[in-house]
Amino acid sequence: MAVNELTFEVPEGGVVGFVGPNGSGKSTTIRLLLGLIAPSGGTATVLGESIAHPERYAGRVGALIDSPAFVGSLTGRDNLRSLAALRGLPKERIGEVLKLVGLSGREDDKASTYSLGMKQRLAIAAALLPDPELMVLDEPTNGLDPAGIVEIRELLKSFAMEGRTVVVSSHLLGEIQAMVDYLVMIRFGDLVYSGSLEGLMEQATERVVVAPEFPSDIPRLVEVIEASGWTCHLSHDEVSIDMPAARSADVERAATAAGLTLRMLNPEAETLETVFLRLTGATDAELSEQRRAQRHRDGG
Amino acid sequence: MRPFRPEFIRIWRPAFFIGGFGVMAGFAALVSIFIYTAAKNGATLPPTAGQGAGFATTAQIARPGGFLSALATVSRPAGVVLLALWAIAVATDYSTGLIRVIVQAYPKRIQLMGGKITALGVFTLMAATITFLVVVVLARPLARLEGIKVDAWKTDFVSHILKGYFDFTVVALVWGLIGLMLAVLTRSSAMAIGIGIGFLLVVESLITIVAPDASKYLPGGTLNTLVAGGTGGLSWGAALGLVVLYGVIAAVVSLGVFRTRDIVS
Repeated sequence: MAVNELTFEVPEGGVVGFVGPNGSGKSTTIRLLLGLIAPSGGTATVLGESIAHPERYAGRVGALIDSPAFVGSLTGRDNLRSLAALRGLPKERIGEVLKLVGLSGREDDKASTYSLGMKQRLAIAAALLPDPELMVLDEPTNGLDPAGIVEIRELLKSFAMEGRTVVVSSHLLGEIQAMVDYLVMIRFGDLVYSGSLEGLMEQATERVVVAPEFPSDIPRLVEVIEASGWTCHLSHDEVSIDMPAARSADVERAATAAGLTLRMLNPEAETLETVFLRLTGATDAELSEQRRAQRHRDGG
Repeated sequence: MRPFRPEFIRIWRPAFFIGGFGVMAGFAALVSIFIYTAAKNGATLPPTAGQGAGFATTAQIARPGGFLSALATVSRPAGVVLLALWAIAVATDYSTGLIRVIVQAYPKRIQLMGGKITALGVFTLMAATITFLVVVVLARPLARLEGIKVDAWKTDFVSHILKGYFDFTVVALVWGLIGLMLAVLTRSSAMAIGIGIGFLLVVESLITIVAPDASKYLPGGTLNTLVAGGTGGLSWGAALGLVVLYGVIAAVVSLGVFRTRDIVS
């Protein structure tokens, strides 16, 4: 069973992140809500309508599911023309959405000649066709270069500013953190968290990571830290201390008093990525590795 | 019906309609040339060649309605082309993921499939008309070239044209519907075409050898028999009834499976 007794609500308006590890049931949930698969039990509503009748809300929902899907031998415009005809929309709407996603000028090229980023934009244009109240986008920045990711992020934020609800499923948690107001986190089909991003990040722990000048001083440093009443974890040649980042100076003072010199003292707050790994069952070793990789990325 | 137009937009692309029309017209021309040349040379097919298929003699061609002699032989390759095109049109929606977009945008699945069947049906009518016209238009010059008298063709010309066209288009549509059903069931154009051609051309031929009496009721043989205007074993009316039954079964299975099956591609 991909999704089991999963219960959550998504507020109207704003960008909502829908995250979970691979195989957690994100795609199944999205397909259930969009009427692509039938539930074996339970109830759900989209825009106040039961998912048993997706035709009642399909005209108010735009979606990008899994990956952009088009007829490669048709132009971008003709692909949208086909979908606009299916939804019973005027053809003027095609020009409007092409302009919105920045594809004007390439709309008469065959979709097969588009780059992955352009295909992604065309898929978002298709989702925008019905001027939807709700947009459900699965990995909307997949395959985009950094500039494209920022552009799509800003685009999605602008849709939310217009009063739409934009549900974004992504494995790029940095991206999610940068754009969402509300978060739904699932694991193995069960709900892990549903609430504001701010609320989740308030639960984020803080740590101070220190390293002595000489690795041989690590046992002594651990003794000093534990004697001061803090809990610490050893990882490679670093010591990670569970404490508020604002008290990092206390560590330095304690080490100096014990005659130890620190070559590194790094106050760290958890990112969405590390909170996600903690909540979805990542081991401490995996978490530490994650933090180390992040510090290297940040040049720390 | 709203789903018809978008389906037709997708079908009405050069690779699909030029390919479809071109191949069918090409087959019609080639088979016509072959049939008239073979008739002049007195060639015959072996008895295992299947219902309705075969070379016509010069005497048969010279009879009233003889200008449609090539049609029964054309119908099988034309049918295979249509089976493949219908299967490709359906299975491509699954392989590209377009089915997700379409069903999300328009969740009334019976209407969606109805629109697809109608659009492909219109395409098939056009393809069948072109193929039929090629057979009819080439008949007189080919007969002249081979020295076959065609005076009798004037007898009941219009009724032969109408009946031949009706039979051919019904058969073309049913070939397409079989392709549609196989593609809905397998969600793969390669598998649908493979199974379709494998059964209709290979398995049926084997059954014809093993159980000649049963073979006349099988889809491939029946389709050919209808275009041939009936045979000694199966009258035109019986063939028409069976062909329509096969078409209805294919359409009902396609609609039923498409309506209830989860879209997981």
